[in-house]
Amino acid sequence: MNEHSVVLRTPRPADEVFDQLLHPGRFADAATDIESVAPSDDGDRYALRFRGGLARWTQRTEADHDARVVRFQQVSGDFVDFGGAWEVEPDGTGSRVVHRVAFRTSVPHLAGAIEPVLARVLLRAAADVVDALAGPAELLSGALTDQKPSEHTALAYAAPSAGAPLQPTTIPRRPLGPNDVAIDIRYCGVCHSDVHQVNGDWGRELFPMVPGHEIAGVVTEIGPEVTRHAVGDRVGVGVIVNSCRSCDKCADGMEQYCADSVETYSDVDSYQGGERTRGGYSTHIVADEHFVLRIPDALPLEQAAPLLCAGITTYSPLKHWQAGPGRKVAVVGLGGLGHLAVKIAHAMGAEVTVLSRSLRKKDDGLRLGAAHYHATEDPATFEQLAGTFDLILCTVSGLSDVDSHLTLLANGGTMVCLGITEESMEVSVFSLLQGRTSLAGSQIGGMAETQEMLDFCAEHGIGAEVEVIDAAQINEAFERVVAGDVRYRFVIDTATMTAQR
Amino acid sequence: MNDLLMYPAYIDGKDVEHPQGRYVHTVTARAVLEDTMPALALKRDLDAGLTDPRTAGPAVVGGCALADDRMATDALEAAARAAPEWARVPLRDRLEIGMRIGERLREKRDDIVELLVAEGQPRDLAGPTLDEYWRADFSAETLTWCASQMQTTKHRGCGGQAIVRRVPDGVVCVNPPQNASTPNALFGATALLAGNAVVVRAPRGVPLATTHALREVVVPVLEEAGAPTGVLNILCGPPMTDLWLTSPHVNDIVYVGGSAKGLEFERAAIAAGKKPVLELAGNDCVVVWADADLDSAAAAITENFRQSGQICNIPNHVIAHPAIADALLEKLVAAAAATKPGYPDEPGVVLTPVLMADAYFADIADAVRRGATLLHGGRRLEVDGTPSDTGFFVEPAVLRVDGFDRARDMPAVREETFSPLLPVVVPEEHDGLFDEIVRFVNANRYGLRNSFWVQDESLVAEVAAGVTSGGVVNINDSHSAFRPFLPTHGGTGLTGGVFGEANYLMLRTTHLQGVNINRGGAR
Repeated sequence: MNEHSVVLRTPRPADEVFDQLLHPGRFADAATDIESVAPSDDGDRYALRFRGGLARWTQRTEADHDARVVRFQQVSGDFVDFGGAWEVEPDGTGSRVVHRVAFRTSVPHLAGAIEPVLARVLLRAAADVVDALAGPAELLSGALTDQKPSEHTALAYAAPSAGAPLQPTTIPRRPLGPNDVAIDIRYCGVCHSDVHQVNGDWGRELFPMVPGHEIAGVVTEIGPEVTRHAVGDRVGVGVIVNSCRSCDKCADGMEQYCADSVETYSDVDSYQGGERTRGGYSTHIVADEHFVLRIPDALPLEQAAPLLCAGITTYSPLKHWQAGPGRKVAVVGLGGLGHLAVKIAHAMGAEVTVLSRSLRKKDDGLRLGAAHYHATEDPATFEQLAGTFDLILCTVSGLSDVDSHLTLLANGGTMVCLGITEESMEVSVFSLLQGRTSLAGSQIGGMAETQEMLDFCAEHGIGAEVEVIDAAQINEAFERVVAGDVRYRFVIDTATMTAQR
Repeated sequence: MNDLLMYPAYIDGKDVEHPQGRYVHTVTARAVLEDTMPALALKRDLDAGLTDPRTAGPAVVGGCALADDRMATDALEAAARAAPEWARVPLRDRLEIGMRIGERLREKRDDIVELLVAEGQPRDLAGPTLDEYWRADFSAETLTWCASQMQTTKHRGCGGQAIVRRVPDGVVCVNPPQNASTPNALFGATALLAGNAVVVRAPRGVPLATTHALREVVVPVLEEAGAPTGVLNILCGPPMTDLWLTSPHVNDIVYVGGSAKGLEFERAAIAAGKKPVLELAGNDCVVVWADADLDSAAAAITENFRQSGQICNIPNHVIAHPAIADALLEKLVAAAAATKPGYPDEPGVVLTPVLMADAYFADIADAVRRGATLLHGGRRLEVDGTPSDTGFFVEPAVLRVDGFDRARDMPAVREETFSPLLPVVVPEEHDGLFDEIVRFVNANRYGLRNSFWVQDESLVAEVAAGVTSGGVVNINDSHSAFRPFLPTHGGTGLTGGVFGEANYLMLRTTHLQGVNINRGGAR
């Protein structure tokens, strides 16, 4: 059975909304689609107006007052199966209402025509009920009318809920503002953090979610006040799409550390009227020109896309901690971040060592620019390399033995954590005292620095090593990312995105 | 009481019922369109055995026994038993049977049409579609050509012979799709003529016309000819491909369906050691050159609207020479506006309910976002033609897409949309335009059919020489029509899979073998 749902927001408090939903006798007056609801010994008898006729069923209802959930199930009626739920939860001073229905009918060869329309009427009735009895209701997700052809619509892949497979869908993009750039997305990289967020690992995710923050494409339209970009320019969008632009960090060109920066997806853009942000697993995006980067002609777009996150995430600490000639840099982990860290550090002139669990990717590591390659599963590595490195970039998430890695630092050296994990890490103070070493973190880069990184990569011929995939392969790619089975970045060819079929 | 057509399963030459007597009933598409929910409830109660079909009124026309796993297995065993004997029947006798099937199909056409209409196929399409099978697939021209490919004998000295022949694979299972079940079941029956035993699974949604056509047209001819029992088995049930893939009795599987699942099936079939014969999606192109007969070209292009675009061998996109683009688009828009929804039994109706309307709206919205212009369409319609948020039909849509650059990235052009949606690509005029068009057509990832409308004989020759993808390339003819001798099915790329080519089942379900008879002593 396919589930259909609608999500509504109302300014009325959750308890008040929930109370209204317990009185189906009022529904027929609230929603024109509902002909009547009559209580009976078997349950509530519904008659729904459908295409000039009626759909009839009797449903049993159970209310869970603590959870503010009403579940209902057909006991007899026109459906083969029918059931669903109302869910009400507080949202600020108002509330969010989810109405779900799932049903089956009996004519398989016409189900594709009948069921979406039937679902639409059921959901429209539910939206009208909330609007009339506990509204005004604002539609947050769910389509009650057909999509109108609009230049503001994009095809996308979205996760409907935490952990659910990504599905093709369509999303709105905002009309072009004066400083906005409309971008035809050509490629979008698949970052490990996309997988984390789709799984809801960090506990702050917003669904449905369109992931993707390694976006490369071509400008199709610009707002009247745009000065940096022109139609036809090759451009990119990375991890953030807005910031306050008035704090010290923004003033210093470190928008990524602005407390009010806005992430490219699964965030709310308060500078754009509270718009939900949706990422690059999509055919188009509209973004403020300040957060749109120029991709030099020398960089193929598919190789440039991962630079917008993986590239800048490694470039920024390499630059800050002065990787260059005469400096010894270690890169822990040879994955999406690591392989770019090796290329960039090598191009900066540093002597690069890869520290990987095994020697499986040694040939790759040396080809990418590493001078040395050691296996961390071999305890001898830590003895041999003790006190060696000026800088260690840790690109893996959840490094288990931080202390032993710190022993690899030279006096005054720094280990920078780039891989993200929700777990906290254990460090002995002694590891830092002996050799005055530092343990640091770093997060992407500012807009000016990201542009500098792109220009640097173009100059040195650095692109990501990518495996280009069709949109239909995204879920498979997620599994392979988790399994570490990619060299070194999946990049989605967004031209392969098609409407849900 | 109704005069109902109730078909048990046909296994090993016998009528076989489901152990619990279960049937799948046909409630007319008209009843479903007129008052949907009561019709759905009636169908549910009929299938559950709660309502007697004989007293259920004119909305019910018949039913087919549901097959359980045992019956599905029995059908395969019966086919495997029949296959060796059937393979020894001389080819000319089987060819004769094929021609008699064609004649009988012609005679029984109107009865089958009534059932197709009951199942939702517009009357204006159902009859002509059936006619194509006796005119093409079961025609003397097609069958004798296939036969000519089946065996060549060279006589060698001293009475020796070198024979190269095609030998039937054995048991062929056929899985026709819901959107074109009866035609593809008839197509599947041509595998019989090569000497294979055949199992056809009629889909549960629309089993009645398919079962009727096989039982009233093919089975009587086989029985009259004394074919072994079990050579054709007909059942209705859930998809049986998993069983077929694991059964030791099955040699080939004819799979008709979408490309993504079809190519997945191809891999599974090969892993299981079965020959997959694929009939997947098409994304057919019609090219209209500057010198084309525009009225005829427009008529061929609007074949797209048949069954609301939900058949594979119809035009899916157009390339119009810039010199005639405006005139052609005007004709297409007029034709789209004149194409209305309706009940399948009404004359003049070609549109049917759209199963993926969301994709239609999304494809249009995306195309417009990518710079296409919507010239007509984009609304949902009720059966009486009024715009409505809850209609089952959509307006035929015409999109203008200027330039190949836009078209190349546009899913509405690149992919099969399976809705009445016609993107018309208007490239810029330049010296190498014709060559660029040929390259564009050959770059199509699908490969069912392509059509060209062009008068200039040197360009006709260019098309014939240069367009090598697809199962058929038409020049100045109906796009989707079946013609005797020419292939009616098959293709390359996403249409036919790795081994895809024009598909004559007599050839695709047989294998080449050499026979060397030496009578002169070994040299």
